[in-house]
Amino acid sequence: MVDVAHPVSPAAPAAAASATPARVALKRVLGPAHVWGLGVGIVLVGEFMGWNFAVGKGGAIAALTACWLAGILYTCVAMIDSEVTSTVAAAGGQYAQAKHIIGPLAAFNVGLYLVMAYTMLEVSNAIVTGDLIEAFTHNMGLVGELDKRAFMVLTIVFLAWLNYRGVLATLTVNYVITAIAFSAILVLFVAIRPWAPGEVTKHAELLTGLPYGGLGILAAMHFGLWYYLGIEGTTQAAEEVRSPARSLPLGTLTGIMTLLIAATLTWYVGAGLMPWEYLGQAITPLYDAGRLTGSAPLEVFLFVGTLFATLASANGCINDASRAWFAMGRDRYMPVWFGGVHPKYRTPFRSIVFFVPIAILFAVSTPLDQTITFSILSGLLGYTIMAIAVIIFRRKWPLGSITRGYIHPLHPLPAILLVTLCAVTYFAVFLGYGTQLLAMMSFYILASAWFVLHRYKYCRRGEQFTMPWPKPRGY
Amino acid sequence: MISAMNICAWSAAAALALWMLWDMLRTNRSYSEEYLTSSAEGEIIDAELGETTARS
Repeated sequence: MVDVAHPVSPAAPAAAASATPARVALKRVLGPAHVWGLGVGIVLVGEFMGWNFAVGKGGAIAALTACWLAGILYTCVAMIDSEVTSTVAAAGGQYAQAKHIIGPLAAFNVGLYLVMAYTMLEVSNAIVTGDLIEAFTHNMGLVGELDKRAFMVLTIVFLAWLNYRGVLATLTVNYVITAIAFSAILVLFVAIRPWAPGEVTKHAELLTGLPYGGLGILAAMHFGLWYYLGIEGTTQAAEEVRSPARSLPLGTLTGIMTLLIAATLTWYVGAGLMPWEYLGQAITPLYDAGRLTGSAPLEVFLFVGTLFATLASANGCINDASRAWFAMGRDRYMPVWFGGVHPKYRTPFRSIVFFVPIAILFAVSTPLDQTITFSILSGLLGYTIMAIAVIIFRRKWPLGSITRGYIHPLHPLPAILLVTLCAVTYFAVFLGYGTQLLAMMSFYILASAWFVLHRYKYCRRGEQFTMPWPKPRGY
Repeated sequence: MISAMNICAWSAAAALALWMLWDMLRTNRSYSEEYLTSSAEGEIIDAELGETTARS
């Protein structure tokens, strides 16, 4: 076992590494590629399934509009996140940002949004993995009834085990399987011969305008988020990257660029091969597109891509939910027991194990659309606070007052765009899932009351603010 | 075939879950609580040192 003594002198790393262990910390071993793999890995499953429900809400043109509007929303998220995280390089990501910039109550809420969003997304991925394996065995003609629950549980437990054993292996696996899944989209795009419109794709016949008018575009925004939901998860690796100020902005911004390309290609392929009435309710649209090309190897590759994208997403979600919970435990927003770090694997092992039974319980008992909606709503709440936080951040610590690894352009335009698009999406979600929206808001209000009236007395009020920043302007 | 797949999936999940539980309990008992929860936010450990410790 090797630990990092703290504080250490950069001049004598070898001596420090062999010194008597005084503290244990998360392991700083990740680079920009891992950050890319974490962010894109969580999201890419949305290209293989889910985005197409936006087509069902308003037709293919509405889905493309929602794709690009959501793309603007997430580009704002990525830029804002990159600037703030390059200065607040701490596990917990947006939770730590909100704590330092707004205050403890906002941080508590953001921490809960993160944990809820990632855990529900992990659950959704486990459910989809079970469905995929069932469909595969059915297509193979195997006799007998597959127990989907066994594969849902195995997915959750195996990925939790991988996360438990160390972050480097976990995110290296994520990087590789995400790259394979992304290449499946690229290969499918080339296979439909986009340079010869009308030969394989039939956009001229299949694009039928807006069947539900302008309201369809608004309704499509709900599922338009699926193209990019989770890219903000890159910031959870802040305490485990070798160079946060460089790696986080680089990994996050290349991640959102990758997703903008993947989302547009996905729409082009899906809308050109399937009528919107079918596409809008398909379970695995890209896999279906692969089958429509008539190429057996491509069909198998798309199945592998879909499975890998699902596993990468669940893997990244376990990583992120555990870091957010760990950070809250370390600050005593939750029991301090969750702030434990494994001395050998240097991972937040208790937080990882804690979510295993919770995820299994939801996976075997909750419908997929409910878990996805819980995830989307929690994410949206987090983005709204992020926009408010960056405006406060720039006001309290103007440019030049602290060192930033990245400065996002055109401030405050991205924050205003982000809030506006979040408001539009809240309305879109309310149209389809109003009850869930109100139920979740009630849950977070009750949780906030519990935090203010009970939990906050256990927090170390001064020690939780660790950033070596000057006093904010005006204080 | 399918039933064998089901049994294998349940067995593998149970084995991995039990290993994690066992290792967590062993770790909790082998180290002091103060040490396990000694991580501090924003600890910037020099990158070279981080890599050295990771390799060793």
